[in-house]
Amino acid sequence: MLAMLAAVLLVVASTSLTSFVKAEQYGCCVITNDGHYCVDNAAESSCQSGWFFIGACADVYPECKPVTCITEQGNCMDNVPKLVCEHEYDGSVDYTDKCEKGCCIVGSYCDYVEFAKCEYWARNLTIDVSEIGFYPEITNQHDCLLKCSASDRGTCIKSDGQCVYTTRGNCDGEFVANTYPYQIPHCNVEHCVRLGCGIMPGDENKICCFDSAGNQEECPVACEEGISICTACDGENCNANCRGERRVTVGGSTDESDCSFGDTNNNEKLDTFEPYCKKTQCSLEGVFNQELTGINVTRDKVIVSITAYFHGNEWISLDDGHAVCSNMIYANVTKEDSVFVEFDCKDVNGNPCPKNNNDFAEAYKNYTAYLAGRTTGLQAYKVVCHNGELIWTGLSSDRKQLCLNDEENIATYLVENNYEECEKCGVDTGAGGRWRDPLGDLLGRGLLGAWLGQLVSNQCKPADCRNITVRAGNKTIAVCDYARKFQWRGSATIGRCVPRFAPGTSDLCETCGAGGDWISNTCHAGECYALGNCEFTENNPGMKLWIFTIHSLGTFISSLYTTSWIRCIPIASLVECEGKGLSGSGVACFIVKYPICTFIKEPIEVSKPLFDVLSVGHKTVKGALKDIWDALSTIDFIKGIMKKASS
Amino acid sequence: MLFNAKRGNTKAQIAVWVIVAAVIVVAGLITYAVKPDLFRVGFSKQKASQILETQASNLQDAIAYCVEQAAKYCFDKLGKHAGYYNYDFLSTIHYADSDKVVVMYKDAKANRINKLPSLEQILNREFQACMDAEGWEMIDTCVDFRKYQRYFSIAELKPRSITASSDYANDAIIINVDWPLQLTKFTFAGRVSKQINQKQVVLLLPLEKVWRVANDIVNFEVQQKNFIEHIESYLQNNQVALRQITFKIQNYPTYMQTIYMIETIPYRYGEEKFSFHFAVDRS
Repeated sequence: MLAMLAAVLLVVASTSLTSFVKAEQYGCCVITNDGHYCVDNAAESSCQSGWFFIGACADVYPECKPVTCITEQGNCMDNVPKLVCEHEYDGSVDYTDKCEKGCCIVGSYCDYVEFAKCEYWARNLTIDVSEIGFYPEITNQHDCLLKCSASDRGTCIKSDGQCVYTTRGNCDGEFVANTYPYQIPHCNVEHCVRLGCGIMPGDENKICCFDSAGNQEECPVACEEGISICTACDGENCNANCRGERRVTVGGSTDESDCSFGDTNNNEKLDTFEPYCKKTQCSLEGVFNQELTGINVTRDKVIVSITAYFHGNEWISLDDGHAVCSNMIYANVTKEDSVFVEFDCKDVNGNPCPKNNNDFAEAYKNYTAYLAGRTTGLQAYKVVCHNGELIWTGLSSDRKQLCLNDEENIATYLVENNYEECEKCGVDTGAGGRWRDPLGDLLGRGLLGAWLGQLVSNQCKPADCRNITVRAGNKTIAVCDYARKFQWRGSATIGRCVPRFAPGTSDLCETCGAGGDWISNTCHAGECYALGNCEFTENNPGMKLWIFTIHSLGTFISSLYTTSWIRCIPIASLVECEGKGLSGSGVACFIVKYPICTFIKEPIEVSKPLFDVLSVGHKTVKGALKDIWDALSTIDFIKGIMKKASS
Repeated sequence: MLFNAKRGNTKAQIAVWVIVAAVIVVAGLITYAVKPDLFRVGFSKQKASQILETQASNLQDAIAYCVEQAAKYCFDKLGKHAGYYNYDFLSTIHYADSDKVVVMYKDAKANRINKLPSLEQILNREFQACMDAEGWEMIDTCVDFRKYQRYFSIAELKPRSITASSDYANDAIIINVDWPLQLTKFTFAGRVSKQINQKQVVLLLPLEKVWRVANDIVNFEVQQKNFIEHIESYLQNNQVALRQITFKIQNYPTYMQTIYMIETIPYRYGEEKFSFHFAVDRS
């Protein structure tokens, strides 16, 4: 009895344990329980027994390899798993290259399709494959339809008495050439009961009459080739302004009194689904582009060149099937009376934007309102003109992909924003780089620093930074820019190689003040905004004091181990300012180098090398520290502490 | 006493006749409510046959209308999910409040795999799945056979089925419903029956045209070409086919994933906008 109980307990325990430890596996399911084939990343439980494998389906099961599939109706689909093609699509693998595209003319069909589709149409019409007309040298639909338009047309009187307007080759009855059904009394159809865009090959861009049986008749109006297309009014967006368009009335007459050809003043609303010739060009009104070749990161701001697609007194037009770029990377950021991102607006000819022009001013106001002082969510767009409407293709708000205009070819390129490469400038990846880097930075600060520093470790020079590029078409674009902090004679430049096109993340914001010169570099507005969806703000007084204190203690050694806000050797900045030679101003200037104080707003250029100043100015560290203390005393917050301490 | 007894008898007889009359009237009313036509056709089979003809036609029209609504619902649903009804075996990207099905992805060995359903699969398997799960019930609710069953009885001659096929030349989908019904009407002279088949329904929905655009896009992508980079040449080379089609394209959530939303522009009375959404993942 006890033994039986123990056995039962053992079984229960092992079952529980098994269920507890066995995790669901994921992999390739060749056949799922609901009849799908070659499913990657499928749970084992969703597979039919014996059809689960670890790995990618195309790799672990030969019948799941991707093939070109021809479906039952002759459609070609590339890279379809073989089993899916054969069992789900009821198709076959293309072994004889039947998926080449060309102009297919078979029976009543005429279109730019794959040969496999052409064959399918022939089979449907019980036409022999040898009678197919297939022209692979024709590479677009327009030319194909033009080829078909030359066919002999007329009325086909079928054996059942039905009359159809078609081509001779498509008639299986009595064919009356060059005649419409309404012209044959026997056909008993009413002439021109409705209007529509042509349906016969080559007549798609004509406004035609249709009889009561749906046959196409005469086409009184041909829309201007390359300028307009025949389409049906959608009831909202087709207030025909009649520029170059002619209105046709039922019955076939061309009523020019309502909408005269060339009359630009007659704005007439069309009925829903009434055919008309729609202009295919698109107006670029309100479209602006932040030029990738015109973005410069300085220490205190980012300067962005923007192009408005404006010329003379009007917005320019984009041809159908062409595209331009509309990059939105930076917002026009201002804070109080400071400008951190500045726009330099020009038209397509490089002239300053006509902000006095009312049309332009309104659009510019809307553009800047859209940017709304933020970079988060902004992205690059490729703007394509399609049948008179703009299609805005968003390239993602992570801003890893941007758009470049090529003015010579009126083409656009997509550019990858490899901003991660910027961070590598000045970083020594060789042996001992972690120690040599800060030492090299330190040595780089003084006389002969540019040479000394480079001797010990890689130093990021502005030219090196701007040489980090990507290729787009026949252009090379720099993806990084040097946000310079300061430099004096002979020393290396202190600053940071930052992305030119701010990434669409906040991941880098906290690294402001870092970079290859992380010991000396401090966070400034230009660097901040170039790092991504960041905002540059003043620290609170407590934090200002803390940072100042830490830096004053010269804790550059500890900064070897930190990656955030401790970045500066205060003495270097002090010396930088000493060159001004004004009493006390050296230290005050030193304070302003941090984004924390408001004593002096203008940055001051250093003019003397480190060792010169040390020898001419304060001869002792004590003297320098006294100045620091004097400067501290002027800060109200500190005054309060000192007063308290003295009382 | 005798006079009183006689008077009592008369009252009772009157009461009985009143009750009988009331019963007849009520029966008549009930009969009218349940079988209203009985009073019209009476003993005339010919008349019954004529009336059944009209009523059958009404039923066919109602079924055709309801089939159209159900089919439209199904194709709209399929269109929003790349042609799939069940897509839980594929990954999705949640964008603009709905799931966009990823029909092109890279497997673990960086092979680009095409999982766009074929046009035939959409018209057959996926449409059937939607009809079986929701469509037939929608039709039954829409038709509401009970209101017809007051006039005649309805019997299904065989299990109903539905097929869809594409009419590319006319930008339409042809729906054929195989659902023969036997309608029987009762008359005092005997029963009258009529068998009806369902009308063909034409949906003004250019599914094939839209699918071919989607297929072209996915074919570009599996060949390692970013369609966005080639969109200009595609528009120029297929101008007529794309006349009533527009696009919304957005890289999301990163530039390695693209959401494609193809939409039709209606150009005929009775046509509504149709959307076909899908995503590709190049990561």
